[in-house]
Amino acid sequence: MTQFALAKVKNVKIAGLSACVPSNVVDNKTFGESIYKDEILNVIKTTGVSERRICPENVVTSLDLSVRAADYLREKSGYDFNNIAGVIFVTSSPDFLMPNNATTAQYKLGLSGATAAFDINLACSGYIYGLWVAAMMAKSLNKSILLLDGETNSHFASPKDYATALLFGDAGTASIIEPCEDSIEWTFAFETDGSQRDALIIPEGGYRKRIDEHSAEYKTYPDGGVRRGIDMRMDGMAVFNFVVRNVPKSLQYLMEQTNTTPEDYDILALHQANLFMVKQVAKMMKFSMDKVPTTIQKYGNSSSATIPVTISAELHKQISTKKLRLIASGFGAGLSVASASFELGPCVCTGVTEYEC
Amino acid sequence: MKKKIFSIISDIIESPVDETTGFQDINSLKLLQIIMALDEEDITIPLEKIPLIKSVSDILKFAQIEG
Repeated sequence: MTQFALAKVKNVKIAGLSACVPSNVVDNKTFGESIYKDEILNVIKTTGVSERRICPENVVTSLDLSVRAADYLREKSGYDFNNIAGVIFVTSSPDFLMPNNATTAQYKLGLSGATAAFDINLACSGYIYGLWVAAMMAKSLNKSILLLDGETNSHFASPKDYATALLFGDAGTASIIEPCEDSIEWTFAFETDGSQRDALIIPEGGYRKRIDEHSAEYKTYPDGGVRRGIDMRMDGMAVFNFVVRNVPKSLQYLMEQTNTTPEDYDILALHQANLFMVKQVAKMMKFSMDKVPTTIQKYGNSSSATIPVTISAELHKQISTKKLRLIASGFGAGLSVASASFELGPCVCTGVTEYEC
Repeated sequence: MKKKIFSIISDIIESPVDETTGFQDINSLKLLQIIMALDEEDITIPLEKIPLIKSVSDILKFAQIEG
């Protein structure tokens, strides 16, 4: 039995793509000096994150960034949002536990009440799941779907935790998926290992362990990390092990299922976990780095949003005028891997806009 | 090559190493720094072997020279 769940969706396309990051730039050399001391430059080199975009906590959220990305896409493309009959919001950092972000986005964007709207709670593999669900939904509704994907993981990464302090940036994105005729079949591969949920987890604040009077206190843990119960805990080695064992296999499996080789693809779009991991996976898959766009250097790891941010930032000129064949993979909390083989363009892609904050 | 590997690892963990040195106290970021530094010297550890590294002797076992 295969280790991957295989899915295929025909006759859908991405009609537009946009990304938005906070205007506030955090320089990691300055930010990380107190925790990493004279190792800071080595840590920046290893992770690849020189600077990040961070929005102010309790002021700007993943909803704000993603709605801005959608508004910017509407403004630049002239796309008629009356064609949209569904909103999916991929995030693990919503405004509230209830209601979800998607319903508020429907209101803020002035979309029709005849709209299906819901969130998908997934971290780094989330965009690929979002594409899959949006594609099926576009076929089912025979209308366009607005896929919003935004995260503010910097807000739950402890600045005193060696494993996560410098990694995370904030971002919001918007993609429009619409039904069409005669597009290439999108092919997806999914894998989940829920036994490793503790490898990447925010231990407090949900209903397994609700927030109490100690949740916001910084404590030193046996792994050496100093963080709060409401901060993310990452077992970097466990995540790394999962990634190296499963992401290349997932991409290989997709290529077998689609009878393709690396030469058939214009782009390998990988979740921007850290630069080392991206380079190693590319090398193992025999993709030269000129086919592997990276943005972790300037935007950090924005979890599920890294793939659309990277496409918007690095490929917007190309996909505005031509069709590209992509193979993409997101991987992280769950633990979870989701990969996809699909085409993109020509379509409106705005690049990355800034949210003033 | 062994001498070079010892030197690279030693520079990063800031203490002398030999074949018996274990990585129990090394976090994942440090291990990645070691792998990257070796890579820059054309000493490659295959990606699938990285999770198996628990000591300096594992690095000696898995290290491949490129070029």
